[in-house]
Order: sequence, then structure tokens, then C-alpha cells
Amino acid sequence: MALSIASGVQDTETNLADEHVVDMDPKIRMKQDDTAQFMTILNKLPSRAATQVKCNWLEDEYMPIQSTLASGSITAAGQTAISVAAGEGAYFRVNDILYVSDTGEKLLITAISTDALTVTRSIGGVAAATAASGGQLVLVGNAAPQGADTGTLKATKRVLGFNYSQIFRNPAGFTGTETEAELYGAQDPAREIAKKAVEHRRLIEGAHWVGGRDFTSAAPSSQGFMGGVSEFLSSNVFPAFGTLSLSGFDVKIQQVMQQGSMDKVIFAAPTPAGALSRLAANNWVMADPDVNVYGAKVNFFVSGAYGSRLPVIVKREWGAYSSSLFGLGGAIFVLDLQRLSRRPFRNRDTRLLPNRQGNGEDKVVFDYLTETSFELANESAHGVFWGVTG
Amino acid sequence: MRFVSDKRGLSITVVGGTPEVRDPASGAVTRSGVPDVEAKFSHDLLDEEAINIAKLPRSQGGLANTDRRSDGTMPDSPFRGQQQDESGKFLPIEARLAVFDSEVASLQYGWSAETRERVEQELLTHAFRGNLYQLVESAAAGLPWNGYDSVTDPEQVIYIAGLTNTDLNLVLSYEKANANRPEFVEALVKEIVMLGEAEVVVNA
Repeated sequence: MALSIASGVQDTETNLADEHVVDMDPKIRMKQDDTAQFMTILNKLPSRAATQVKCNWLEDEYMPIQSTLASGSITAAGQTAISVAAGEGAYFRVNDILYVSDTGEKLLITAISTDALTVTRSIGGVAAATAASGGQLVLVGNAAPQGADTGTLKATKRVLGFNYSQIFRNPAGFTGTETEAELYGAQDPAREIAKKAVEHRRLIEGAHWVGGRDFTSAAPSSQGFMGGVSEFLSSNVFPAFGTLSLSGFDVKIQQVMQQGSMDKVIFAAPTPAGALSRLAANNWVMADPDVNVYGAKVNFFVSGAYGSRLPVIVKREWGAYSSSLFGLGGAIFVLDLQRLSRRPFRNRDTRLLPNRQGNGEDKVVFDYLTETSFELANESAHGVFWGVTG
Repeated sequence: MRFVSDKRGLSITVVGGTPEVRDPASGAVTRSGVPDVEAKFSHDLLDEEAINIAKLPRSQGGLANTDRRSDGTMPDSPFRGQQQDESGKFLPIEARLAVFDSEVASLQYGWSAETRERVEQELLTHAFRGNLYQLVESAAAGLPWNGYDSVTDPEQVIYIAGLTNTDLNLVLSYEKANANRPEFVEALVKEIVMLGEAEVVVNA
């Protein structure tokens, strides 16, 4: 067979394609950064190992000191029978003194029958005055007569919060040949192990926000589902919030700050964070570039009632999500860090399990496995805004 | 019009979209607007009717997560985030419920009739209805509860009646006078006898 002959100057296209050493940057560019800041924070907060699929915590509160006038109203004259909101008569004892917020009048409780109170009007200098239904009553002390017995003994009962542990897994596998094939950048499975670590963390964080608490009993394959933040919130839920205004936002933040500790953090999707930032430019404080909360970078601070400075952390990946209804793209969470904790199952916190391939298989399979739960106590100390549009 | 929610502090913004314009000097309104208003739910407005609506399964116009899932299993908790007492029994949901009453809100905030209607329409048609709140409406005449006819599981009828304190004898009478489904009649009679509520004669 005759040889193929090239005449003249030879350029890059004259050679065989396989002769070329490929020019490849060994660094592989990932589309997204690892932005699971909530997990960064949770991992630095104190946590306690779970030892059962159902993990519990106890919540308590001080005896309530507020109620409202339920039906009808109290008149300026000698009306001594008043009703408080359903179930709230139990808050009080005979000889308690109530302050009527609408009028400043003080009432002395002389008898209680469920939610119907009998009172002595006009204790002190404020005359008996009319107060409408819905008006607030505040307990401002009690006055025992000399020589009196203790009276009714009352204490609040503890309640049980609970959640279930959930098993998160992110496996991957390669043929034995693939693990030895020379590749640009890191070799497999090392490269995929690094990627899966981030993917695993991201999935766990997702469940911490919007996971639904549930448990399906189906031995031997029962399945636990960990409830996330949104599962527990009831007192401070602000859906369809629309456009952020300084006054509108401050009122809600004040409501959230009313309960729990001052150690709160705001997580906001980019759209709401942008709106917050515009308000921040005029009214709040921009954070220094290196300020962080438990390792998560703070973008700026919101200052509100109670002299607090709330760090704001932008959840960049939520920018890709819908901002309508319950879409995380329009969400702002306000969380009390003193009332949150991870509950990883004992000896089953995140682990890389190597060699998960079957006996005899010419493969390399690994698996990231985490069994964990989440504790969110005192739901009224946290809050969520949905549907913030800008 | 009244709505009940299991989110005790629920507050829904009803967007007006047109800001009112005032003369900066005199403060007089130079262009009337349609302001944003808030539908704030209040625990203090809760009553028995609202509680019973909330306790109905979602498929029956309530808020309870007590419909069977597609795989036949029941959800673990009737309400999201519901707490338990120290013995592990669910606490009564009443403490987490709240009501929005458009009539009360109109009086409280001085809403015009148009504003009130706008809020009511928004809440009736909003995608959150059925998820975050439900309309409190009395059952149609004779019906044990609105949506009763769509229940296909006799066990669920007994379950719902128990949750909402509905008299099983009334449910039985309605069932016999209408669809008269044998499995429903049998289940109801069995339950009534078991509870000792009445001596029942099935084929009277």
C-alpha cells in the first residue's frame, strides 16, 4: 500500500486528531457555589444527638398576663360581671388586678367562673368607664387581704414539641475502569465525592426550611420525614406580603421580636433581600465585608424596635425559585437561633460510606448518609414572610 | 364573612395597588386611591362553629390533614406543627386557631363597603384558601357538614363526626334519607350502639 504524502508547509490540521494533546484547564467550573448557610449556622449551634426516631422537646411559658373583653362591653356604671376571651379566664385568680388598656381603669377580681369574672370596679383614682368588646385587659398584680389563705394554685403546663428523624442519602458509583481512566482535573470517584458532599448538604438544608413532619409506619421499611421551619410556624405567618415598606416591615418584625431571644437572624431570598437592601440604604446599617454569624456571611443589618440589630443573610439559590404563594423566591424567614438545633441521630450524622458496591461487582460505589432531625422551639419566636415582591 | 385559620397570627395583605395622593401643603386628598389593607386573624374571635370547620379534613372544606394519602396511609399529625402534652396526646388545636371576620374588621378599621367586599372577594378566591384558611359557612340544611356527600369512607364519617361533635343519630338519619349506602348505615349503627347513644332499629 502506498504511503500518504503531504507536500508543502504543514499546519495544525495536517496532523492526526489523536496526535494533539488537548488543551484543557484542569479546573472544572461549577455553575453554583455552595450556599447552604443555614446548615453552616446550625452546625455551629449546640446540638444534641437523637436516640429515637421521634425526638421531643419541652416548651413552657410564664403565666399569661393579657386577655381581652369578650362579649358585650363594660359600662361606666356599676357593671361588675365581665367576660374574657374563651379559655382565658383560667389565667386569673381571685384578688388579681386587671388594667383596662382602653380606659386606664383598674379592676379587682372577686370571683371567677370559667371565662366570666366578677370584679370590683374603679380601684384607685380612675373612675369606672365604658370599654368596648375586644379591649385589652392586662394583669398588673394582685392584692391579698390580710390573713388570707393562698387562694387557687395555678401553673402553666409544659407542652411537647416533636419531630421525626429523616434519612438523607446521596450515592454515586463508577465502574472500576472509569476510576482508573485518566481524566482532566481530579479523578473519579474523588471528584464526584466532593460534588455529592455539597449536593447532600443542600438537600438537608432544603428539608430544614420546608420539610413536612410525618411518619409512615410500615415495618420493616417505616419512613420518617423531618419537619422544617415552615411546618412549625403559626403565630407569625405573613403570606402574600407584596411590596416591602419600612413601616409595614417594622410592625411585623416587632411582632416577631416580642417573643424569644434577641439572637435572631433574617434569611431572605434575593428579591426580598434587594427590597430590604434598598430600605437599608436609607435607614439601616450595612455590614462590614467580614462580618458573619456562626460562620455565615452577613450582608447587612436591619435595626428595629427593641434596639436590636438583625443580621440579614441572602439565600442566593432561592433567586431561581418562584416568588408567588409559598415559593422560596419571595420568602423572608426570621429565626431565633437560641431556639433552633440540629438533632442528628446518634452515630448517624453525615458520613461518607465507601465500598457500597455488591460483592463481585467491578464497581466503586459510595454513599453519603445522614439521619437527622430538627428542633424548632417556641414557634412564636420565629416568623416568615411569603410572597415579598420587592 | 368569616374565615378560620390554623396559623394563629395569620395576616394577609390585600393589595390595593393605587396609592392615595394628598396635597403636601394642605393634606387634602387630590386623588383617591385603593390602599393596601390587611386581613388580620384573631384568636379572640374563635367560636364553636369556626373550630368545627377547622377540624374538618381539607377535602371536606376544613383545615385538618386527615385525608388518607394516595398509598392508603394516614398522615401522622392532623395539623402542621401541632404539639402534644407530656403523655404524647395531641393538644387541642383550638389554641392555634384564629378567625378573620370582615364585619368586625370593617368596624375596627373603618373600612368602606367597597373595601370590605374587596377583602372578602380576595380571601374567597385566593390560592391560600384551603391551605392557610377556610371559609366558615354553616352546613346546608340537613347536611351533617358541607361536603358530607363526597365522603367515600364510612370510617372517615365517624372520625369527622367525633372531631366535630356531630350527633351520629343525625348523620344516620341523613344517610338513610338520602344516599342510603349500606356500608355507611352499618358503620354508623355499629358506632352508635357501641357508644350507647341510642337503641337503633335499622329496618324500621
